[in-house]
Amino acid sequence: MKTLSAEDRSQLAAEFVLGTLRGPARRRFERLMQDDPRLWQEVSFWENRLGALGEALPEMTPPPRVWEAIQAEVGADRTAALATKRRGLWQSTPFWRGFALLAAGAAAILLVTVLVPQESPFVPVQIATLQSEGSEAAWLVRVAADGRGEVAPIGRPVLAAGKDFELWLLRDSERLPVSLGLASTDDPKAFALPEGSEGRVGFAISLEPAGGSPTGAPTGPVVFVGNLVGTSGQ
Amino acid sequence: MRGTDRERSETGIGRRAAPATNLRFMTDDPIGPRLQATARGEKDAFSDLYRLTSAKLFALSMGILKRPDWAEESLQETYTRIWRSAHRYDPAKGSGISWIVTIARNTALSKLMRRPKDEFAGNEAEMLQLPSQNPTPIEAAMRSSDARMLADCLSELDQEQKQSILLIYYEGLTQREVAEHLDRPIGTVKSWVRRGLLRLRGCLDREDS
Repeated sequence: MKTLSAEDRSQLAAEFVLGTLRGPARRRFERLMQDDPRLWQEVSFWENRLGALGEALPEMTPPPRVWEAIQAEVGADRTAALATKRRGLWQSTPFWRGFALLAAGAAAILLVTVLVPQESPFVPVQIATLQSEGSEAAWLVRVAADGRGEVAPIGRPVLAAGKDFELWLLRDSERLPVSLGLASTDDPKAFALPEGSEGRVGFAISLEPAGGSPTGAPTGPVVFVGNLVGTSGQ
Repeated sequence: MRGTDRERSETGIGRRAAPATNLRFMTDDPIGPRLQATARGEKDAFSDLYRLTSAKLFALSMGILKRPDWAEESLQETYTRIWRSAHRYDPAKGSGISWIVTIARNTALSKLMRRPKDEFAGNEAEMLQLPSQNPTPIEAAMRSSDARMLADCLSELDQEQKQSILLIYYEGLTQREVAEHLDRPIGTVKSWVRRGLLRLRGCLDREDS
């Protein structure tokens, strides 16, 4: 593979962020990013810096139906959503245009929300940042007092084809790691701490064959590891 | 260089800048703490975020997608993403507004890139219908320290370099579209963008150190 100079990296990352890198070139860059953490750093640099241009944006109020749809989607407070919806219905002429579709969609979502009991909020009391050796943080693990947990990618962990990342609970050195399931490089993933997880000290992520370790213990290299700490104020 | 009437008319950007009164809340990043509260599942904070930022993000989505129905879709997807991934926001890496603007832009751009060209119904006239009362120059609208630094560095660029980069950023144009818009050869525009970004990087690095 051709080695990119620092200037090339910065240039390509900036064009990736601006959006002028498109089509096959964009896909090629995304593949390159998987092998070169310096490219992620450049992308993140440009995203943060150019994001400041957002302050100079004009203001254009979106129609109320957008917030209604968002609330329905994130399962937010149903009462508030209905109140806004009723008001928006009469105030907004454009509402009627999308009425049939939106109402059907919203009704379906509300039905699901009514049928599925709302979970209590996820309030983490312990967190662990998992890092690879000598590199920056790649995952954040959060654990709530009731034993629910979540593992979320924070850097952009790179996964080889045909492999999966598996999350492990680390306890004192006498006891074996316990699998908490696969971790996704795209989205946060929930897990539940098993019984006997008292005395937990941290988490690790190993590289496993697709679908996870076939043996119930880590079979591949442990690529990320981090200790648990309590969150402030908890 | 500070924003001038000449610059506004040439970039087409200044006329889209918000009245200064709407920007007061942007000066000390009230967005970051609300993102952190959203990450903890606090719906009021999420609601505040929407109230404070949706008009800007909607304008951004409209700028890029040009069609209200697509922009609404994009906005909805943006906030759903913000709700789901607010825990990934790291205040050490940048301001809250930068983070959500990046999400909004990426969402709108990926929609734009997925649409076939002939579906694209936007036109210059629509672009100009964005609210323009009491326009302020782009630099004047950028108040936080991050934004000031960026504005200072942008002002060091040649007018064409800056104009091309801003057209691409705010309107989601390709370099070819910028070339058509400005009636210049594509090679010239590419070189403006490349050199502009290089100088911008140099200036930002200097300001950092």
